[in-house]
Amino acid sequence: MGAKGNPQTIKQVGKGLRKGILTKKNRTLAQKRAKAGYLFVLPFIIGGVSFTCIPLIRSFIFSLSKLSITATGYDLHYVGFKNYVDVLTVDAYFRVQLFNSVKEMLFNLPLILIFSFFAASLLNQKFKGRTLARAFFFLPVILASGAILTSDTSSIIMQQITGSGQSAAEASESMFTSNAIYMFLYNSGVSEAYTQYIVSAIDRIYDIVLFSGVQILVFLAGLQSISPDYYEASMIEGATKWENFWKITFPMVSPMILVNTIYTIIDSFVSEQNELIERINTVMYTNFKFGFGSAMAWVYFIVVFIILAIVTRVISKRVFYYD
Amino acid sequence: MINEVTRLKTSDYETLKENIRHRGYVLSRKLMKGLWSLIRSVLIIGICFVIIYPLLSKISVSFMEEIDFYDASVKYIPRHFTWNNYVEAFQGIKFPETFRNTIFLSLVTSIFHMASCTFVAYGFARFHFKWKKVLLALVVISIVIPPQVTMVSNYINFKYFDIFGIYRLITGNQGINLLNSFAPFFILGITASGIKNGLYIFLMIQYFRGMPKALDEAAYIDGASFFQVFRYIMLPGAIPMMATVFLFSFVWQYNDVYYATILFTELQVFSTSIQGLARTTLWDVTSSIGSESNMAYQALIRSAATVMVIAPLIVLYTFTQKLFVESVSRSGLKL
Repeated sequence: MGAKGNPQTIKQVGKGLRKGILTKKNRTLAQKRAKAGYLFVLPFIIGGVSFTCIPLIRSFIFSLSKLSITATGYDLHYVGFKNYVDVLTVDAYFRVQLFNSVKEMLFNLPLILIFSFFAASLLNQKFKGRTLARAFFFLPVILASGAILTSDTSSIIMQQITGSGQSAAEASESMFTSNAIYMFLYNSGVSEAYTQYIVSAIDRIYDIVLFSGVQILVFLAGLQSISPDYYEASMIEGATKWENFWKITFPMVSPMILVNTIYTIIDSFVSEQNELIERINTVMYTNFKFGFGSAMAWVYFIVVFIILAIVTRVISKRVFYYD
Repeated sequence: MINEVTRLKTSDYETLKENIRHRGYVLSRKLMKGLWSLIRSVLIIGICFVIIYPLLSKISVSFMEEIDFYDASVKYIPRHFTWNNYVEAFQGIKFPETFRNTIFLSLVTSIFHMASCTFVAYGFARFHFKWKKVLLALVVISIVIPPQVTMVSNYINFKYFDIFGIYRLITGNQGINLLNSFAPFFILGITASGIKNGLYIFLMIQYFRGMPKALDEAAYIDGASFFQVFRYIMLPGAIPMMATVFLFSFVWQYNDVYYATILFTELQVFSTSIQGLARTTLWDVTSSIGSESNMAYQALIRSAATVMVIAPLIVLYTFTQKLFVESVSRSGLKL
């Protein structure tokens, strides 16, 4: 019976076809892959939203209000931007501490980069005990924790009590007495500013060495990825070691410089020894001024973010990618 | 590399003649090499000393008696060797229990971190989806953010833990109090939001990007599903990198003081136990020398405790050191 030319069946077939194209069975490959991608990333979506996004928003709301903990929960009292104004103008220490933190970080950054590059090139050469040396250089990353670094304060008090003489008490805290070097440089005619700079750089050797563990590894990886063919070719062409360094090593390693810069900035800003972080901790957990503390943390966060963005843009324009 | 001129062994006289002929080139080369080798050794030993010094001083202090602490003539080797500090510290930080807690926490959390970060990183590395850039930005934010910004909210979240208000619907209470247990860390771990997880995600993304797509595609042609490709093809190749993430995560979780202080009120882990020594040892006892010597006593016990806390890490490090050091070069980390 006329199934073919019948107008009603044609309509039904048409409808069925239209439905078929849009049903699940006919999703494109790109869509299927996107769905799989979302599935894989799902844990992070849950975690990122609940533990990063929402706390960010909440903390922003806290910073705009006055928070008090009650017996059953907490109490929010909206005060607008008063907290921010307080942080930036009224609080006696914040601006100074912020400035100090930034200054410290900018000061340490080139030192850490230079030192870790130097150490990495040292460790890249073949010599006996190389594995052992590498193990030692990475040790600070394993051990550098709050547990060890913050428990040295007792010896400072000991210095006051015992007065003179380098007993074990003193020795366990002070690493270098740089007075001798200071005198030497100053008396030999180097200007005051440079002397100060050099001596303070020496005083920081301990901190720099501690902070460089991961950076040394990254640079080492970068150095090892440079194929020796380049050096051979340049040697044949008669390049000196100096030219080798600036024309081959430095450009090939420049992506690592970017990685290390970002890591160093983040590490120094978030580390426990940072005095601003200590201050925020005190304000929040000892004084229980959560609104105020949140505002401080937000200001700090914005400053860190801006510095990171600037530094990244500046450096990544000069990075040389060889792919 | 073209380094040295290779010659047949000749007598000294002939060597001297050769040297004169080359204007001492080879000899000076050798001398420079030897000199550089010497300088390098000095530098490396010097830096190693700077690194190792605090540890050595802590070890030596931990074996000292109080008198030695003040004695200016005693530098490293104690004159009165004593195990007493270790006994005190052992009881003070309740070593067995704390040890168990710390190892359990670090191990399980690291496994969670490793699993979730690999999973998430595979999604980022191999797939394209609409909000990918936004989510990647979220990963970056999670690394850059100072923990104080999110900590208060997370604290409250865990104090009255409630998924979408279901608990409140059922029982009418505010929420389960998850503080002072391992649960917050586990939850953070499974959702790739733990300590430095963003960093691990980026590491794994770089690694997956380095794996050839041809392998995947061959498997897809053979009819594998997305998850099968992940499990049977990508995962075995990624095991070295996962081991690295596991180790890093273990060490950083072991050493973490911030989250442990906030999320644990009574539960003892190593990182918080040293600061808690004041409550648990004879902190205020006046010793033989006078009442101000409390601080010396404290320093002694603290040193011993620190050494005990670090010891498991050092043991772990000696066995896995190669993995740590070679890990970053394996990842091909580039930006």
